[in-house]
Parts: sequence; C-alpha cells; structure tokens
Amino acid sequence: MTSVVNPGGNQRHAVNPLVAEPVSLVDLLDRVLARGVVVSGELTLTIADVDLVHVSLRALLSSVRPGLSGLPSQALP
Amino acid sequence: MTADAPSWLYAVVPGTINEPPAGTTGVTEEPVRLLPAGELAAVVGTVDIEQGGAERLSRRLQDPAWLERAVRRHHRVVTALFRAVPTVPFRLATVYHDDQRVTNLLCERSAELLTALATVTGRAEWGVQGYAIPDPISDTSAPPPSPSPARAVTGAANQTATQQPRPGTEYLLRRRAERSRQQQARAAAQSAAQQIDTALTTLAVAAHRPSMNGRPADPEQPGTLVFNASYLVDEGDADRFQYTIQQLADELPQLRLRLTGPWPAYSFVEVEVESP
Repeated sequence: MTSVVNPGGNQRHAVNPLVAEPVSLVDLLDRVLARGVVVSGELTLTIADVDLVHVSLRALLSSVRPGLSGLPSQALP
Repeated sequence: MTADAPSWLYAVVPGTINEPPAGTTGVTEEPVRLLPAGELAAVVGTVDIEQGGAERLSRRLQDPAWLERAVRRHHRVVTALFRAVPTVPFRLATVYHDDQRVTNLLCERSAELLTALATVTGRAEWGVQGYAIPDPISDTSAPPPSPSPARAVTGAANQTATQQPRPGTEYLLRRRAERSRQQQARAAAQSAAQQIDTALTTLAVAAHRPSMNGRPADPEQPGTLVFNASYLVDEGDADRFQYTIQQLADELPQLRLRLTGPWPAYSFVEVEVESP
C-alpha cells in the first residue's frame, strides 16, 4: 500500500499543484533546516548546524501534540 | 552594528522572471521581492525585526512555535516560486544586512548558482520512505506462552524441579529465537532497501541518501523507518517514477512505502558559499 503526499496538493496520485495542504513537519524540517544552499551570511545564525537541527526537530515535535500538527500554519498562535 | 532591515534570502531564480508570484509573503508576513543580478535573481524579504537584529532573530528561532511558522512560510515562498520557475532553495535563516549584500553574493557566486539552477531546471525532488509493518509473530511485547496445563494439575507443594517447566531455559530459547527473527527482519529490510534504491536510481538524475541515525521518529507515521531517500527526477519521468513506486509496493508487502513530492530540489543544491 502506498500513499502519495504532495507537499503542495492533495493526497492522490494525480498531483494538483494549486491546492495548499500542510506537509508533514518532519519531512519539511529535513529539507528546510538541513538542506538548501548553505551560506555563511553576515548575520551569524546557528540554525544551519546539523546537530542543532536534530535538537530543534525533537523540541519541535515534542511541542506539537498528535493531531494538531496537521493544522494549517495560520491556526498557530 | 545591527542590521535593522535585514534581507532574508529565500531562493535564487532565473533573472528572466519579472515579479514574484502575486501575494507571496514571507516569514514575518513581509512582501517578497526580487533582486535582479544578471542571469540570476534573488528572492528576498525584509524581515521586520525591531532593534536587536540577529540576536532577536536567533531567539525567535529557538521558539518552536515561531520556528515552525517560519519553516512553513519559508517553504511556502520557495514552493510558490517552484511552481512558476526553476528555483534554487536556500536553507532557512540565510540573512544579510541588506539587499545590496545579497546582490553582491549573486554577482560573486554566479557560476555556482547558475550550475545549481541548471541542476534543478525541469526537475523535481521526490522523497521515498519505507516503513516496516510490525509483524505480530515477532512482537516481543506478547506474553510468553504459559506452561502446559497437564503439568499444573499436580500442584503439590513438594513438586520436584525436574517435573516443573524450566523457565530459565525457556527464556533463553525464546531470546535466541527472537534475536534470530530480528536478524532476519533486518536482512529483509536491507534487501528491500537495496531493491528500492536500485529501481529508483535508474529513473533519477541524482539520489540523496541521508543517514537515518539520529533522525527523530515522525509521530504521524506508524512503523519503523527502514528506508529514506530523495531523488531528483526529470518532470517527464515523474509518472514512470510514481508507477515504479507502486510496483515496488506490490513486490514488498512487508513494507509501507510513502512517496512525497514534488518538492523544490532542497536536497540537490548543496552549494557551500562563503560570505565575501
């Protein structure tokens, strides 16, 4: 049994890119925090450190109760 | 010296784009803007932080609620671009003192960024995960089998040891059988992972296979993660890629396969750029 999750669309094989839907937080953090172009910018921010990513992932996941992580971002306080 | 109006860099796109997708807002709900620089353009937003600049931003990023919001908004900008043009995503929290410094970056690093842009053009990233479906037979939380009823009939207090069940031996045998089952399960998972990766790599331009060590478990996903990889796939091969996943799922009933995508190619733009 497979499932196709489109980070920008509905959960079905035919990908509809125009429908917004919250993505699994772990999948998102894996990419936005740990990948992408890495630049030593002028404002030194430690978020790019890999160890910090894992700490942030755990802190983030423990702060999100099951069932709430599927809410759209606008619903967050 | 603090940066009072720092530029948050979301992505780099071709210089041919005229304007960002309508209504796109960024991590602090600021409007997102284009900074053209020759063949490239940077997509930035002025993050609205009061005095304190980098320190304040760092503190906010330590707050899980703010971090999650920032992550989702950063991704929303990157995704909106990705649907319109080839997009080189930047990692979260790439911040410069001002727009000019971003433009300088694009000029000085145009070669690497053009290469990254070429890598992502006409392609998308797909994430593939395999979760082991728990096997009830090897479930170690199951209670041990109770002794045969025939032995329990003679419940005299002076029952000799040789007529009692031997709990020590039974325990060791059970442990050995369990270890054997676990080894078999691991070997089967390895074999399945190899099969998946081999099949998908042939359809992809590139593959990213991160270590699973230290990766926090996803509370939304049941089962044990035994496979996790991303593939860069030409748009024209996306259907065949999805079809192959379905075939693999049919051939590997002991795994639950999960496909996510299409993603902007976060995992395939590993350009390390030192600030000038």
